[in-house]
Amino acid sequence: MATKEDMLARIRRALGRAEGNAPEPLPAYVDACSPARDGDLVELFCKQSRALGAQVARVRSADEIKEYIAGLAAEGEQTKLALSDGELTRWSGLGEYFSAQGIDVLHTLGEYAEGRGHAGDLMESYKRELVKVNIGVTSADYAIAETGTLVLVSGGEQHRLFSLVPPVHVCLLEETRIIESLPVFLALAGQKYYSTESAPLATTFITGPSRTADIELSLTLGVHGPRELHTLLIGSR
Amino acid sequence: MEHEIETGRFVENYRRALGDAQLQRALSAATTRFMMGRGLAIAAMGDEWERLRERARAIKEHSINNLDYYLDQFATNVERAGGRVFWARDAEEANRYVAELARERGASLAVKSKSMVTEEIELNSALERAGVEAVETDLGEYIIQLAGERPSHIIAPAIHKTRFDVADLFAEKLKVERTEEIVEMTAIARRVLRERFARAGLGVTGANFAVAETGSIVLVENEGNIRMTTTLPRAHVALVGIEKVIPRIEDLGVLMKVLPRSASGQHMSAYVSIITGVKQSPSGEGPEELHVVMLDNGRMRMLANEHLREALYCIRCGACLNVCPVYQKIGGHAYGWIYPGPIGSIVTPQLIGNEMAADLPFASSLCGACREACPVKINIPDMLLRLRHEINEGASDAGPARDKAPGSFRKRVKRMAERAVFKVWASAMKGRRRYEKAAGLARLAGEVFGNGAQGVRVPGWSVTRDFPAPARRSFREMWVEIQQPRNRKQHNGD
Repeated sequence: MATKEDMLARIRRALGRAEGNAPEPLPAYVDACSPARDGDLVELFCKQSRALGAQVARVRSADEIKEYIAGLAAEGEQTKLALSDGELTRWSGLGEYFSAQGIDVLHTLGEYAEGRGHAGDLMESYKRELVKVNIGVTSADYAIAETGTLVLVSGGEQHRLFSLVPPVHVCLLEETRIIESLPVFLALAGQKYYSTESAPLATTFITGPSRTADIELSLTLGVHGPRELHTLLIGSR
Repeated sequence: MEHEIETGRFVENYRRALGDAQLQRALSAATTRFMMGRGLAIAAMGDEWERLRERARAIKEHSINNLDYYLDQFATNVERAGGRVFWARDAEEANRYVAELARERGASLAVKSKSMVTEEIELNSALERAGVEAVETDLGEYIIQLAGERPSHIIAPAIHKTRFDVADLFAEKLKVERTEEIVEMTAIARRVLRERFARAGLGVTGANFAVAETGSIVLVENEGNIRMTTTLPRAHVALVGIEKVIPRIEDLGVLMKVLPRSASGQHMSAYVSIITGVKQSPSGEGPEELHVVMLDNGRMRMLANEHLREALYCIRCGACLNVCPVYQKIGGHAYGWIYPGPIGSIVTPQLIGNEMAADLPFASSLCGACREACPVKINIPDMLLRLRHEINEGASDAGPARDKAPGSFRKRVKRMAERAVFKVWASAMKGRRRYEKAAGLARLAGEVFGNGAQGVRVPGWSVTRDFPAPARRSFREMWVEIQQPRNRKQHNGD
C-alpha cells in the first residue's frame, strides 16, 4: 500500500520538481461573449429549458402553484407527492393543501426521521415509500439562463432524492435567481458556498429531463431520472 | 467477466471490423451524428471556442505541472469533509481496496456508473471474485455487460448494437417479453436497475474532475444513474486517476463548456453533480461514507515522459474518436483494450507497454483531425510519431514487463526492412546527384517490375497503399525543357 507522501514524492520525481509552495494560480478567465449578456435572462432561460424538453410555466401566486400541481396530479390515477423542505415549498403551502385533499404526501428524509428515531433501517423503509411517489417537488437555488439549467444546492433543503427518483419533477424557481452563465454562477458559488468550512454536500445542476441515446442513438427521456421536468417560475411573492 | 487484452491482435481485429456490415453502418451513423452535433455547438460559440480551448488546456497543463501540490490539497480537503483517500499504485491495490470495503460493509451488490478507470482496472471481475455482484447502470454499459462485451466508444458504449440485438439480449437475459421498441426497452432497464439501486450496499463511480480547493468530486451524465449511485447506497467509492485533479471550482466554468459540446454537441449535460464529503447526520441525504481511490497504474510513467505527458490532459470526451478516419472504419473493439481511437493509441502503449501495443501508434493517417477536435488541444499526431519512433528504436524498456505480443518477431523483421528502405531513401534525398541517380534506378525498376497503371507491387506495403511506378520523365527534366528549351541539348548531355 502506498502512502500519500510516497505518491507525491514519486510525482515530484517524475516532474523533476522540488517540494514547492502554492503555485501561482492562473489569471481569472473572463467570458468574452455570452448570449445572455444583453438579453432578457428570463426569456432565455425559458427558451433553453423548453428546447431540451422541459416545461416552464410562469406563476404569480402560491395558489397558481397549487393549481398547476393539482393539474399534474389529476393526470395520474393514484398520486403520491413528495415535498421538499425548502423555504419556497413551505411558503407555497402545498403540504397542507394536498393533505387536506387526501393526497398522500411524503416529506424529506430529515422530517421522516423525526419521531422514528435514528433506526438503522430508516433509509430502507424510506426508500420503499419513495419509489411510490409520482411527483417530486423541490425548489432551485439558482438557474442558468444560457443553458436552461437549474441549480440545487444542498443545505437549505434536501433536494437529491425528490428531484431524481419520481418520474415527474416540479421545481420552483424565483425569477430573480436566474443568472447568465455557469462561470458567473461558479464565481458566486465559490464565494457564497465553497469558501466556508462546510461546503454543500451536493450541488446538482439539472438541465432538462433524464435522457439517453444509448440504443441506436435514439433520444429517450426518463431513463433513470424524471421523464418530465416542470419549472414553475415565480415572478414575485 | 475478465477480458483479455487484445492489442496484439490489432490487424486481425480491424480486418474483421472492416468486414462487418452492421458495424460499418453503426459507426458511420454514430460518428456522423456526434461530429455534426459538435460542429453545430461549436459554431454557436463563435470566436469564444478557441479561447475556451486555450483556457481548458491551460487549466489541465497547470494542474499536471503542479500535480503533487493539487493532489495534496485535494486529499486534505476530502478528509476534512469526512471522506477517506486511498492511494493505489496499480489495479490490484485499487481492486483489493474496493473488494475489501464491500466485504467489510457486508455488501453483496454494488451499483456502478460508467467509468473508464474501473474498466481499466477490471474492477467488476475483481469484485466478482470477492463474491460481490457489480451491476453497470448506464444503459449502454448495462447492455454491454449483459452481452459480456466491452464498450466500443468512450461515451456511447453500445453503438455497435442494434435495437434488435438489445431486444434479443433483454428477452434472453432478463426473461422479459421481447420488444423492439426503444422506449419500452429503456423502461425495462429502468425497472430492473431501480431494484438494484435500492438493494445495493455500495455505489461505485469514476470522476470527471476532482477539485483541489474543495475536495469535491464532479460527475457528469445524462441518465441520472450516477446520481442514483451516489445517493442511494450507504457507501460511495470513487475511482479517480491522479490526472483528474483541477485547482478550483471556478475552473469548471470553462471545462464544463468544452466537455459536453465536444462529447455529444450538448450545451450542457442533463446532470452535473458536485459532491463534497459525506452527510453529517443520519437523517441527511446521501451515503454515510465516501472513499476516493487515487490511481496511478502507469500514469506516473506518462508524467515522467515530457514528450507524452500531455496525454494526461485528456478529459475523455471522445471527440478524437469521432473525427478519426481510422476509428470511423474500425470502431473501438479493434483497438483491443478499453481506450480506443487516437488518444487510446497514445494512452494504451503508456499503460500496458509499447511491446504489447506496438501496432496502435501506426493506426493513424496523421491527418491531424484529432488535434483539431481536441478540446484541450492535445497534440496527438506528434505523440503518435514519438511513439512510433520509440517502438522502432525499441526504447520501450520503460514499459511494464509483459509477454511479448504475438507475431512480434515478424513485425520486428518487417520494421527492420522498412527501416533499411527508409535509410536508402534518406541517403538518396541528401544530394541532387544522388537523388537523380536513385530516381533513374527507380524508373528502371518500375519498368521492369511495374504493371502499367496498376503500379508496382511491393509486398506488405502496396496491399493497402498505391505504389505508382515512377513517371517515364521526371518533373525536373520537364522543368528544364520549359525553362530553357534552347539549352536542352546541353543539359541532356549533362
